Amino acid sequence: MKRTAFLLLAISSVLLLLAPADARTRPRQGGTLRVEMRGDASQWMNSTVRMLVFDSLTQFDDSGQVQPGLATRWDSQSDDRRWQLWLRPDVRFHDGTPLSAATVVQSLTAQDCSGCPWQSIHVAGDSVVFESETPAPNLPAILANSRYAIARRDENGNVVGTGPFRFSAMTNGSVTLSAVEDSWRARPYVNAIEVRGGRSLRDQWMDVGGGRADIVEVPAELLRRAQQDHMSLLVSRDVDLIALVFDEKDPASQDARLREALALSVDRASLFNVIFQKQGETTASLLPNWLTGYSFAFNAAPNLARAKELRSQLDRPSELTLLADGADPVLQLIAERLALNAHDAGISVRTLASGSRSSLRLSRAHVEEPDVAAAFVDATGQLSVKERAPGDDVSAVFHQEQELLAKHTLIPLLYTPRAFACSGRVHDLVLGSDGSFHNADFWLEDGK
Amino acid sequence: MNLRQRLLLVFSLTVIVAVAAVAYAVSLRTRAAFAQADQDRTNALVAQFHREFARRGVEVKQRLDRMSASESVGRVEFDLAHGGESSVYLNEAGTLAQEYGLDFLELLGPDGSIISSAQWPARFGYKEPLPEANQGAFLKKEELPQGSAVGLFAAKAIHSGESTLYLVGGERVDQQFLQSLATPAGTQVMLYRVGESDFRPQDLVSLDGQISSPEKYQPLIQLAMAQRNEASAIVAPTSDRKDSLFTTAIPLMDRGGAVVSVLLIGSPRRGLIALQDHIRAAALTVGGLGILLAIGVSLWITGRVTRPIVELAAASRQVAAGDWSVRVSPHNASGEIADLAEAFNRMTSQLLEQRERLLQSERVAAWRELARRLAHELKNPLFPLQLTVENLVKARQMAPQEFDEIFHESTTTLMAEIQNLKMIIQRFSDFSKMPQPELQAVRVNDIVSRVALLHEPALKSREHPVAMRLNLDPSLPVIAVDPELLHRSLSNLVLNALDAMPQGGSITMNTSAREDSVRIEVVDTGTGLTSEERDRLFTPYYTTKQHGTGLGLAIVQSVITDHGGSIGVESTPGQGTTFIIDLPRRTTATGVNA
Repeated sequence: MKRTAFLLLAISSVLLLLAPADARTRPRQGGTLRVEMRGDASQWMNSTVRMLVFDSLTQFDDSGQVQPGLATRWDSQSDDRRWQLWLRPDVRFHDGTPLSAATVVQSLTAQDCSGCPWQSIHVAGDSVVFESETPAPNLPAILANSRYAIARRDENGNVVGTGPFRFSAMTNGSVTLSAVEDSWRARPYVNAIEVRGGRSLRDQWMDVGGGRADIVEVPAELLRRAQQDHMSLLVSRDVDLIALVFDEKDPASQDARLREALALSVDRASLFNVIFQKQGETTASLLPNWLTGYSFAFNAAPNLARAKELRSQLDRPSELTLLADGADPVLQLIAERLALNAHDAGISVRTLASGSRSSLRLSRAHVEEPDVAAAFVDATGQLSVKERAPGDDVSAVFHQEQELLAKHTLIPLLYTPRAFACSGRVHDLVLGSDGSFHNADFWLEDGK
Repeated sequence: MNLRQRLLLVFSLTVIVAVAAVAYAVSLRTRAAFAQADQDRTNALVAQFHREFARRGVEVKQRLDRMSASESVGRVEFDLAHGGESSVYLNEAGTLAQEYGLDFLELLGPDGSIISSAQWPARFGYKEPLPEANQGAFLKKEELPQGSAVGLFAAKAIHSGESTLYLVGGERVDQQFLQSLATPAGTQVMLYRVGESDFRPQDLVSLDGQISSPEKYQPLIQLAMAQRNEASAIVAPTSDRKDSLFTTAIPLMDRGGAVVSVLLIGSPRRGLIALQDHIRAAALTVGGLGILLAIGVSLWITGRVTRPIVELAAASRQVAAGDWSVRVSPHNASGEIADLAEAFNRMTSQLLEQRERLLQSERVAAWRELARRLAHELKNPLFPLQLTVENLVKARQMAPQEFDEIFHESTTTLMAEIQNLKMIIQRFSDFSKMPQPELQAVRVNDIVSRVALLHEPALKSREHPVAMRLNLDPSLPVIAVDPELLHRSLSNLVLNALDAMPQGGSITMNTSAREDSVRIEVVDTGTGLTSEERDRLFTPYYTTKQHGTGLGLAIVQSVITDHGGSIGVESTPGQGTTFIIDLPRRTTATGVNA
């Protein structure tokens, strides 16, 4: 008996000792996740928490395979020219409206679909049918892109989705997203997400350091500094492409030798080493190496001698104008550096911070899809270099990309990752490979 | 140009030249004074600029010193000296420049390569010339992404072991820099940034940012740049010359001696121009008043000087017209003018006396001539009378028959000679009793024709015939003359002409209408007259003939004069004589013109 009592006492003591440790690792319900961003809070739908409010018809798993989202299954006919996707039953929008094929069609047709890989979309019972004139073997992968997330407007005009969080309120430059109790993806641990806009990086970093914010932005060019400051970081793969895009309609851009000379003058290493502090990767390829594996095949090294030689073949070329978003200081800095590189090759480039017309522009593109062909279509679409969908084969994508880049109308420069710093009270927060948050299974240590 | 006009001209020119000379001298002196003031002001501003330049340079240097001692730079210096990556400090210059209030800042590595640039962040890795040790502030043209700018720079070298970090910082020399200068009101201070290409108006900045017509400064700027020394000129930015500026351009050079900027100091000329305008207006006013005064004075003086002279001139004209009784008594005349007037009066008095004496002499001479003529005329008949009477006395002693014959012959002779004497006396009586013309409207051509017709037979019957020619103007008007007297006068002239042509010749009678008169000419081809004969031709009792009384032409002159006309003679010895009669064109005795 004593022995039994001693044993029970010992077990109780061990349980008591283990209790605090147990409490630290077990997810807690409740609390508000505080997210800060430089942009206006009203632009939260373009932020990293977008995919916590909206769902796509398909999604990628951690291994990059296409998985069901709001669509549970799909099938293709006519040599991948016709795709039919059946919707998940019993899913409701945040305003209570049931998800239906009609609302999906309405959502996908409401947006600008100039780069969409389909020609038509229509309802077929509880399924949605996509049709295109050319084969679209990657359509399920493409539909996983957040751009094709399903949304509708409620009777108050607010945009509502089917994700685990819903738009709740917007006050004093902050947006509150509250947890959806009956989400088809299960109820999140935290009760709400508060997105504060208009915060400078300096303030964001001070807030996360002072415990006043949970998630703050870390631009790629400051990632090394954040690492040196021992911040807790969530870093994606290299998903943001910076590239030079010629306006083929501009008279100054017509000569292929000038375009090639400019491409050969670019010193990507200095951009990578100095501006981005060796974060990301230099690239002469449109898609990142982690996705295609063939990026090394495109020569990213400058060749100033050849650039000068090409320049010497030109008879007084016109001054090129390079447009870079004036609100993006990093793009401005890169543009000025490129102008210096061009000057070294004898090419005159004038940078512009605004304007509707220019010889070439410095653009960013965001690659979400783990699927190579889908990523190719998506990236060229974002850079306004409209390309047909290549075959569902890396080799086909490579050849098409090679053909595209040989024209030197598009000059890829760098791929950079997306990164966020988070406070110590956030647990199980996972950054998707595309640099945004998809999984709502995170929780807060203090539950506040 | 009369004396009055000359005097006016002289006085006016004197006044104008004097006023212009004074105005010019004053204007010149004023301009020199203003130019000196402008130069002093410019020199003061240039000195102030250089002081400000030096002060700012020291300030920049001090900021770099403080910066080099700061923790931030110390960390960079330490990191780089221990093999740290310079790329980490890409934005360091921008941060430091902002913190220390510098417009330009570059961190340079030991080899001069840019680690970080505040003014052109993208130039990292490019090389800059290494600053010299212990160098003071200097001007430098700094290349920027959008052009270039001029700055006042200083440099600081930080040595750490074998590594060196250079800080090169500066301030813009621009509009704000100009604003720090204490500029006198109205003075324009501008700065021109020398660009890569030709003159660009936007590179010229002023204190207030407002520059009207910046291109007007281009020649001066280019001159200063070419001379690499100060240059001055008057620049008129607007069409109003009062807005013009006395502008001095001072080239500012960098360490290498290249002109990187030009400082322009413009002193307003409004005050000078206003003063010059005032002087000009005053000169014009004084000149105008002077001219008016000159007119007044010249009028007064000419009134005093020329009036007696004008009176003298008028009196002289009267004297020339034959009125020798004129006297001048110019009032207010004195000195030479009074002497002149007295001399004139004395001259006219003497002329009158001399004329009187001359008349007396002529009268005496006329009487002598008359006496001689009478004696001559009377002597001829008296001598036969005396002989006849003496014969009668002698015949008394002859036989009665002889006596009777002689008596009869003697009485006949006596009667003839007495008749001759009576005729001579009658002629003299006729001359003394010349009748007044009885005017009536007649055609002169008719009278001339009648005279020709009367004498033509006698002319032809002469031993040496004389031809008579008529050359009559058909447009001759009817005028008022005494036809009988005119007929006699013309006949007299024809007979005179006949006497002058003993060897024959021709007589031509011409008539012609003139503006105020009718002309009759009697032209012969006779022996002509000498000059003395011409002068005395119309003198009564003067004759060149053996048996003439010397009254014929005198009577003709008297007749013509009584008609209000005139008679003249033109003659050359051996070539004939022409008598010219001009009769007034009047149709009545009262003088109504024909």
